[in-house]
Amino acid sequence: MTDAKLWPLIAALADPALFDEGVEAARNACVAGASIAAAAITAAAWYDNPLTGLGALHPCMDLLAGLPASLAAWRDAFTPRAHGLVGDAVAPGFGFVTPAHATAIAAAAHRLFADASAGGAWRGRFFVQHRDAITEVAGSLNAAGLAALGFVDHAIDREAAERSFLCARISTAIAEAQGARARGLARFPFFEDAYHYTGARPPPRAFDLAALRTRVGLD
Amino acid sequence: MIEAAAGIAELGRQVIVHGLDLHHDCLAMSLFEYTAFATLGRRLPPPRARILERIFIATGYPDARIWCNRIAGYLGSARVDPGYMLAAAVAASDSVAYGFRALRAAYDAQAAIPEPVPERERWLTATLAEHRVLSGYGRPMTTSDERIAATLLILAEAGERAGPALRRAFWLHDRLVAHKGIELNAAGAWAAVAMDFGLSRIELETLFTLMFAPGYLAVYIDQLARPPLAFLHGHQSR
Repeated sequence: MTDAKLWPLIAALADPALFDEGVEAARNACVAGASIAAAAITAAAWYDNPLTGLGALHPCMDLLAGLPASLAAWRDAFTPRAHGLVGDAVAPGFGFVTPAHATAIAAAAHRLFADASAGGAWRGRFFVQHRDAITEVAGSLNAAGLAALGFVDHAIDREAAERSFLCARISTAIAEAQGARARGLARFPFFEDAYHYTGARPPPRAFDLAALRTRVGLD
Repeated sequence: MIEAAAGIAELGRQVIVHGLDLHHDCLAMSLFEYTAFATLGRRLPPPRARILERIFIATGYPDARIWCNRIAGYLGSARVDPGYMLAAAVAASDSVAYGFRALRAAYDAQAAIPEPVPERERWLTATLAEHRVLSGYGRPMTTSDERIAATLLILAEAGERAGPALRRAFWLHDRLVAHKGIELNAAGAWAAVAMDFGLSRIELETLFTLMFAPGYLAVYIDQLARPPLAFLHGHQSR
């Protein structure tokens, strides 16, 4: 059960304006008629990612928990460094969002953290006050960063935080996957996407189907 | 208490698989032969195991547009661990239109075709009159399935003649092409081959669980080498 003080944050994470590739991957998992179990597995895997998922949430929470209210300290802490499976330059909780997502997440941060009377500690407000200076080095706040600010400010422990984050994101993705499954394959652009294959191309070679049928005794 | 017949790993001493010593009796098997043995609890004749192995190869399509491969693409792009990628791509392949549930339905369709020709003719007449779906026939986007010829080539090169199930499958193929322009697809052909090789539906489905894995792995590693989250970034199909 999610702590009631987290409901605004959970609602913000479920906002369609924040739908990302995890949601799209879950739709993809069910569009050919698989169970929502496939969407849940796919979404759980995608939201484990080290860029905008659990792999960013944990280190972002760790950094936030130890930071003073110093802009220089925040800018240093959130300078991108090698992180994750292949060592991408990552500031945990920042980056890897579209401009539209960046705008939506910034608006959500303002809504959730700018008003001191809404409760929580100071970090969310500090981020909102210094957003431009922080995102200048870190990149735009992403969903994991938004969640990390909310969790740390409300003193949510790591286990509860990862549970709330993953369940919220999976739940949204599953609902979208059900919609994609109901709309069906005819509405899903598998082979209609632009695709640029850059490898070598051997010449096409045809089979002699009639001869093969004879060879195996079908004719 | 766990009751088990598949095997036992006595660590530091011996590993037994269906009554064979893994490290003394199984290492000469190919990966597919061993997988089939572990799955089925009996050895497939090596030429038949090789036929099924080559059928696996024939459907390992590394195209990132294919629905289950797109999962691998998304997860590679997001730097998700390969184990989670494989679990998700396999789960997405358990679908009705394509993949494992389609293969299951194709097996049922092949099993329903009667052997005696007069009875088969009556069955087909009734099936068409009732507009029943014949899983294992037809394919979205294109009429022909390029894996049919590849499957026949695999059988021919192994010196394997079509068994009764595959002959029935092609009998129906010829009728459907003539009446409706619908062709046998790969799931139907593989189901028939599996029946001729003595595999039950669940044995086929279980053994073929990883049949698309070469495609997943190729797409995953390709997208892993590209900029993070670049795969269809921002695309929403709603």
